[in-house]
Amino acid sequence: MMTTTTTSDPLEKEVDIEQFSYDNKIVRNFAFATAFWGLIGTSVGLLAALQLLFPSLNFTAETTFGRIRPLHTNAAIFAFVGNGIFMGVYYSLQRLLKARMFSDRLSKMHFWGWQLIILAAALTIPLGISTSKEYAELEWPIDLSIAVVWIIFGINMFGTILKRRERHLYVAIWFYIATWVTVTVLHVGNSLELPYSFWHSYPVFAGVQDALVQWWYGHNAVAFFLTTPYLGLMYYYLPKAANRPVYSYRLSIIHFWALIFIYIWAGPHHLLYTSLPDWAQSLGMVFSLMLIAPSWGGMLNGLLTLRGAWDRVREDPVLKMMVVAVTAYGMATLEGPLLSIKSVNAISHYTDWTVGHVHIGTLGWNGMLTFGILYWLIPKIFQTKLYSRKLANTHFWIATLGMLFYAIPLYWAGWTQSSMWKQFTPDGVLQYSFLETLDAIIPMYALRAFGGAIYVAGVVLMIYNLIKTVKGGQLLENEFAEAAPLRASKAGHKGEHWHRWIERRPVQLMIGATIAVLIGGMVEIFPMLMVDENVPKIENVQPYTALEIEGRDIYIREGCNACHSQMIRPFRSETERYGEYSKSGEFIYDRPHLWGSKRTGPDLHRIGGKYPDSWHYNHMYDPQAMNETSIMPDYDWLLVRELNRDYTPAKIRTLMSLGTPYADDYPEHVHEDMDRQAAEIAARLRTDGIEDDELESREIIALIAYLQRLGTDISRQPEQ
Amino acid sequence: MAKYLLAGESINWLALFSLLTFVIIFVMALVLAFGRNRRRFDRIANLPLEDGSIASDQMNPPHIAAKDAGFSANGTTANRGGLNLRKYKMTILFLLTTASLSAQAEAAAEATSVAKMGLWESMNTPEKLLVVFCILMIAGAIYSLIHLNSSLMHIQKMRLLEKYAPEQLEALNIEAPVIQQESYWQRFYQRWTKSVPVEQEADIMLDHNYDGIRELDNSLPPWWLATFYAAVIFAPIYIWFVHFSPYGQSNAEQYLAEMAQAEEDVAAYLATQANAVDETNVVALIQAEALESGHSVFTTKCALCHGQLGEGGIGPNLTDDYWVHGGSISDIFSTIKYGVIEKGMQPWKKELRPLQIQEVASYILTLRGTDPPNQKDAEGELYVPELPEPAANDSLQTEESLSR
Repeated sequence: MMTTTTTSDPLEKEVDIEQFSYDNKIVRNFAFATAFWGLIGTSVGLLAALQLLFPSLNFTAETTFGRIRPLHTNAAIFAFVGNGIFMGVYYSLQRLLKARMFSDRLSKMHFWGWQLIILAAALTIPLGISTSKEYAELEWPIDLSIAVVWIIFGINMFGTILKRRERHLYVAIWFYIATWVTVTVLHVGNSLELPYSFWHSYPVFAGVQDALVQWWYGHNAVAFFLTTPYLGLMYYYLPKAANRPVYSYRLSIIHFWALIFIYIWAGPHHLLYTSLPDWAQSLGMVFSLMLIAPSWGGMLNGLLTLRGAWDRVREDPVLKMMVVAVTAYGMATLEGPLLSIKSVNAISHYTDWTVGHVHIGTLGWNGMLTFGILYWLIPKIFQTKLYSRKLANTHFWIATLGMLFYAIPLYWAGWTQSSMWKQFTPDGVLQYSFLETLDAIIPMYALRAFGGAIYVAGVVLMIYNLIKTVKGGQLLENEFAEAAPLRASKAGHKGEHWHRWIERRPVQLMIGATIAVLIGGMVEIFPMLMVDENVPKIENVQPYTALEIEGRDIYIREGCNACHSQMIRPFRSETERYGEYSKSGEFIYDRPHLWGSKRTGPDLHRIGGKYPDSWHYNHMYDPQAMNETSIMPDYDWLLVRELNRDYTPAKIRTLMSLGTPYADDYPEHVHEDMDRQAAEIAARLRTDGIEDDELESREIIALIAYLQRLGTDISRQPEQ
Repeated sequence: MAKYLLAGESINWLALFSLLTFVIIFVMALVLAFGRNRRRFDRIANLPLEDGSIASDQMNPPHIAAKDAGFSANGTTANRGGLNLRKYKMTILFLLTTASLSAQAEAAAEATSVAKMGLWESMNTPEKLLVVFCILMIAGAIYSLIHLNSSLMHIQKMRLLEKYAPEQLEALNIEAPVIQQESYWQRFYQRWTKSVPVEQEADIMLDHNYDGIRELDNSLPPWWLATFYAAVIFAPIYIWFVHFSPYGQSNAEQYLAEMAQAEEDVAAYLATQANAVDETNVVALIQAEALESGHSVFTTKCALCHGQLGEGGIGPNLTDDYWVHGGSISDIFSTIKYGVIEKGMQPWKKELRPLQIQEVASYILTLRGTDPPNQKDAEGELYVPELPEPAANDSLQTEESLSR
């Protein structure tokens, strides 16, 4: 593939010009995968949106909202945006470094490995195989595969960097490097889990520590999977598409380092007013505010790069989409810090406001930028013109309107519902029941579903347009290129910017980025793990019984935490509605924590003892029979399925090795203990007229055991 | 949401106004950005950026070039007028936006003020300052971006007119270019962006070239840097204020303060209510409306466990003469109010107002002896109502007493 010719250069006596080619086939593969998963991810999202309107759309156990929601988030983030990243990186990296990818075989392994992981996710999540941790729901065998594929990607990327023909690394590549190292750290840190079977595991951290690690990950998955790689893409594709110089090199430097350093600290803003210690909450808040400027640095550099090209922005769908993407990025990154101001968060958290906010980011920033890149890149590698500019323009308008129709109703819904939650009558009684606050926002859900539907329609339009484009062209699999190899000297020249030094040294750049991203996480996480005062012990809190553990795992399997929080914040409106606010000491045996992040239904932390067992039994069978306007799906299979007790001893042993203080012989006696507790619950159900000869062995019994235990330890007298 | 537009009985004009203003401004912004300015964008597109790019045939004869660029003698003044007009429009738009935003905020504050959890009220001073600062910053940034465009236009015009000798211009009846003093906003904009104009960007072009991508060496925008510094300075101040100063409150302390305040407010309110109902003074109501409202509470809250007709289910039968926790109005009132947690009866005092409890308890009394189908077996003790019954001027009550 590579040939070397010698030409003469008037300045340097002899320069070798190497001839090589860029791999466009891998770019095409990732591009097709991006478009395909984009359609799947948004369609599943549309289904989830419709399920909130029509509970009958929860067809089977596999398609209930609790499992569809994580399927949607995983498909959108890791399948759609993930493939989008790889498409963008594989195209731009080769050209920015003037080198073909390090290894075609690694590229291929990366591509197929990633698609297999997505497939595994798409199968396991509907089957209820889930860790319950948001955006990290995949279980340990898939976690391991992700690590392997990610390392393959890393080797391929760094291999290419090391054999580059361009001395300096462009800002896009700094972002790619920071992305790679940080995602590695986050993925490993948040996936520390101990398996008890081939498909299941318990996390190493419990309760508030697990929550902090989870949101250190969750927040930075947004930062380093949805943001930094896309900033890298923006820095390549926007100047290319606009044919304009990047506005400010100095701004790139400052905003890059500030962004990656500060982002890591902001995780605790997902846990404001929870049982997380106050100091960590304050850090999360102030660092989020500090993020405004570094984030806006990216937006400014993008928008100001378009100076002198705004006339073309009006005409060119690619540039139009990029402008909306960068603007949405700016809006979302301003809104995010404002939402992490504690008093704003007190209103927005647990509501649809957050959902609206993240969709400005994903539909606007990630979606629009990906569409723009696809429209620009596909015709290029297929050596043709876009089939229809008009359709692309239509897509632009549909997508923009879809985004607005999606987000604005949810802002309204979030504000409305939160205000209603907090409303008291003058005589000190909560004005609205939870269901009334939900009824009030159902029209907003309908508008949101409409916005989502037209956004999906836009994706369909794009795929049609791209297929037509591809059919009209021919893939240039290996694109010819030539460049001089790197000369040995790493010396800079006089008067150059100081930052040029590190741009010539990828290893130092990687180490610098790693240090920058490690500091924030370490400062916040290590004290939480090591200083006991951060989780004050509560005498009464005991480990769950074996039956309750099984019930808890059913709760996780069904994804109850997608709609129900288990975290009562210290507000009058919450303690009056749900009971005493949650204390960190109550969660020390919660592996994983199930605090949740959204209240589509009411909080469940103190549900224990609130209703009779038979209430739960009937409610799971048919929620609408008890509350006509409830949007909770039926869980009738829980009433007939037999509880699988095969793994219970293994579960208990795993928990014991993680530090849960069960009696040493408990694993041998779990089945007796389960029988005892199940018999008690079954007896109570029978008293209330529920007839089923095999009641004791049903899954519902375990779930009831867990629900009735929730939040009750704190008020119980310690047992002797 | 409609509840905010219809606050209480009447229409919340503030909310309606803010909603309308928002929609109008949104549409206006779209029209401004994509509709009305089309010609202006086209004109900018046709303006030569580089001196060398004006071909000689375009320059000669000059009046054609001038016309091409859209600056005829009349056009100049007209255009200037247009610029001014646009400036006014922008100001009006800006004022409207601010008005709409503040109206929105007020409406929102009004909506929540009863709950004492308005966004604004719930913030402490540094947070308030921060929010004001952010709003000002955003407004400034938006204005600057809008202004950028007209400034570029103006500069282009100047450059174009400078090319021609004054005599030539005079012959064509075009005003000679006057180097106008920069407006306050132009200076302000320059000071806060330090942006090198597009036409001079060759001066700051760096020698970087990545696959054809060049980089300029523009300064960090000072306004951007200022926000960064402000946030960095705010951070330690906030941490000090909350965690080290005597003024800060922990989450737990905030909660206690909120509860104490609420208790005070509720007590103050109840003191104004002469006939506050509780279990010591409750009497059975007999008015049809009261019973109807008790009936509707019963259907939504009680029927789940006690049956639609009170025949019993998970909970006991309410139509017979046997009562687990007493059958007098005050017993029923207090059972509803405080619940019997160990038996699964939840306390309703946080979800029902005292009057509602009184109504539903009164309704339950009317169920006695109705003898619905599928009754649950009697539980508890026989309760014989004390005579005399409340003065029975309601027909329902009368019939019931007769049948008993």
